[in-house]
Amino acid sequence: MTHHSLELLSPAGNPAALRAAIEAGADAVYCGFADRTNARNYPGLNFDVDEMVEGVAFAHSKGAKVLVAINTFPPAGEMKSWKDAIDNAAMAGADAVILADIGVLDYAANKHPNLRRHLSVQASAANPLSINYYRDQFGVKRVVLPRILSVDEVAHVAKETGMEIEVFGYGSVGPMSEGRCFLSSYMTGLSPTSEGACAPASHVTYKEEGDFVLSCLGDVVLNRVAKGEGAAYPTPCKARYVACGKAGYIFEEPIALNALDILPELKKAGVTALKIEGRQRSKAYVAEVVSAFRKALDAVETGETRSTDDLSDLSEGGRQTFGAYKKGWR
Amino acid sequence: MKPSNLPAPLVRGAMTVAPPFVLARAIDALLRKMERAHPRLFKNLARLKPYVIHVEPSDLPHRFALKFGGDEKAFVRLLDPRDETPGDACIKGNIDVLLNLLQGRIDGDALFFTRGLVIAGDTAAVVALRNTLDREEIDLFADVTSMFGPLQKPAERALTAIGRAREAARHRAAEFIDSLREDKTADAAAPAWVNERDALKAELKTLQTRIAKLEVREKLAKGASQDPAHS
Amino acid sequence: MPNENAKTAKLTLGPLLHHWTPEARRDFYFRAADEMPVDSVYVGEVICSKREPFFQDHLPEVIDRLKSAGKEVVMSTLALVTQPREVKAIREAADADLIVEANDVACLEALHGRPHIIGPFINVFNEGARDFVAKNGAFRVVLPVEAPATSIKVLADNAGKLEIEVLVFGKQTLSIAMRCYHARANGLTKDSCQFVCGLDPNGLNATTVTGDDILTINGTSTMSNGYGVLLHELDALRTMGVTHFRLSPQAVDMVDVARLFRDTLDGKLAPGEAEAKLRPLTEPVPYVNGFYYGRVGLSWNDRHAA
Repeated sequence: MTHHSLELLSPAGNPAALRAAIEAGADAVYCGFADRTNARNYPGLNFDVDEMVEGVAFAHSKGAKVLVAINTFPPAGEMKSWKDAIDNAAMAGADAVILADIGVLDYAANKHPNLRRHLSVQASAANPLSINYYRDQFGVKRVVLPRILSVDEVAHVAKETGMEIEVFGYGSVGPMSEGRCFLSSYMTGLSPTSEGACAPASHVTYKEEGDFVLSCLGDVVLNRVAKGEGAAYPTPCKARYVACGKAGYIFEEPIALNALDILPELKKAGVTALKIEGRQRSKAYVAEVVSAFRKALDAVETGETRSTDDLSDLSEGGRQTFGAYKKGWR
Repeated sequence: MKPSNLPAPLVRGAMTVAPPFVLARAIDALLRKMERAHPRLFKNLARLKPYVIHVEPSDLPHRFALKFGGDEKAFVRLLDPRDETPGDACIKGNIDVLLNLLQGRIDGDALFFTRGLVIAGDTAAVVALRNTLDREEIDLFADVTSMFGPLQKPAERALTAIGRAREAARHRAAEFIDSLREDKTADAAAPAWVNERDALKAELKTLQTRIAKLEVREKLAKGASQDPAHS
Repeated sequence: MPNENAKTAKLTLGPLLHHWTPEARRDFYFRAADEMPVDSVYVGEVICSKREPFFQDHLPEVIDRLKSAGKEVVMSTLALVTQPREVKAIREAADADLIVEANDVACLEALHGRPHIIGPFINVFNEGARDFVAKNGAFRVVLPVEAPATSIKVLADNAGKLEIEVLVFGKQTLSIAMRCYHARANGLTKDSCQFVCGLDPNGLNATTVTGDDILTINGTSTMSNGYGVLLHELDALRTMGVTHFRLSPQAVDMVDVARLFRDTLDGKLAPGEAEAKLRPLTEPVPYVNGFYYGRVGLSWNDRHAA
């Protein structure tokens, strides 16, 4: 296949999405088991062991890869589920596991040295020294960079480490250093780091207030929007707060990252793989975003310039950004 | 394979005119049909926590209750208009949006930023249902038309014709809306005012930053003598 | 047995997370040296590297003063390292002749296994991670603020020689970022920040749109609005095997705060009495302890009364 091109990595929240992604042109998919061992632990989502085995077999028959995210942090005394997840990913024939916790990395490196290890964005490794640590200690082959670096910084990291670099190309923008954000558990008592769900739906409520809707997480009001106004899923980092006498999105606007128009720059920066966020989203979303990126990546390879597809209808709040990739985001 | 569109006006029309007992029977028949076509869906629904979700189409005179989870077989029933018992959650929207939801075309995130869809009550119940439906390839078009038995072909043809007319209209509307989009017209010609607008925007941003800086400087000058114990 | 533990229970002064003027910061550490009944003092900048140069010149005299007062001095390092100059600073800190608290994994790479402390910004949530860092030179681990009692118990149990430290007073840091929210809230950006965080010695208050106090903005970090307070839990923590108890500097009389915690650890004050004396020192900021109980972090649980 197109050997030197960027690898297009698609989310797969379930077996149907895995098939949709591969049929739409994904080179690889990432997915997780239906428990708290991964950062998208939502009801009805993800794979059981049999589905994982079938998913890997299907992907391999189409020449695609399957990466299994086991990227949460086991609470003390409860590492068994995470160890089982790694054993099961190895048994299913997964092409790699995506890990974040030092204890889990240590287990995987010792127990399954031949199972490829990627460093999850949840490990928040944003500089060459950190990345080298995970490479030296656990034999990590690829790092998923946090969504907080500019293209120049990505290039610097790629050059300094010589590692495979995976970056986000589309989807939700995470303004916080991931894997160590306790805002959601501060409001709900459930930890994204160990339970795998930021702002779990069980704690999200909406209250109508005249022409407005209040969105709440636990007992905390996260936003007040006019009915029909674009708003993101209510997470604490995309909420409206009042500071310095002004109400506003003090962390991040309800907006989606879309790097479709800067793919040549990312390739030049030394990026290996381009990741699309959104295992919690529909197979229709997966198919549409993957095929838009497939077309754009193929165009990058052939050097032709063409206008890219409009994905704004799929974006949070209906708006898009280059995020941290371009200067000025900070 | 992409599922075809079940025309919402037809569904709306049929469901508005049908007397409740006919509708109830039709729902039962469709449910049995879907159970045969999608056994895995029913298995997955049964595995969830037990929930009752009320579905309230805004453009229909009926409400429905969807019960699933708790290791029992999922079912849908027509709600008596006088029945006030609340469900765990409630989904309101027009038939068009609800059909898209049922066929997995609206995703977990979009649930919360799709206009015309209102979720109340236990949001987790709705997310669980949405995620479970998304695991299946549901083609209501095929499921409904196959219920017509020997009349399936004519029914399909009728539905397809209605659907096609509707798609064409929708396509024309979308093209029109596209043509109004600011960025597209700007890209096409990039008239002088665009440059001027951008220059003014940049200048405004610079001025705003300068004002903010001056304000902070003033605050810092005042605040330097402040007691750090004052919070 | 509890008396044995009481003797070894160490009180520590965590790194100053807010941006105080160099003079206020220097005087604060002088008071820590002269008056605070703490065993260890963590100095160094954790939140923002742009703040570092302000205090650079004062550091040597502060460290000398603390050391001659018999305190263990620890150099805390940045929680989020991205810039080449920050990497350079981490390398220098790792090579310097002071105990280092690592808050980004970058620091572990620079330390090459030399003895160090794992700070609360490196996730050690389970025994696997704990044993790995201990094997590679960590002699103390400061647990993440989110760690519940059930986890602390497992981690402090069978920890061997490894010391375990827990935050028992101060705002809890809930997230760190590349962006400076303090600058953003003031209409500025990180690159043009004017050091606006210096305006708020106890952080900048952020409320919900309905007016409830909820968060504290501190430069690139976000903190709890309330002070995390584990006074009633000190005994339980000590029984679990926690060795070090951290006070995080806030713009209140930290000498009095330290005395109250020391007296409670020594059994001279009952937790209830200590809380009654602490409240007037810290008003009007509320208290939180939800993380400890595995509940909503911002909640205050009175169950210890039972």
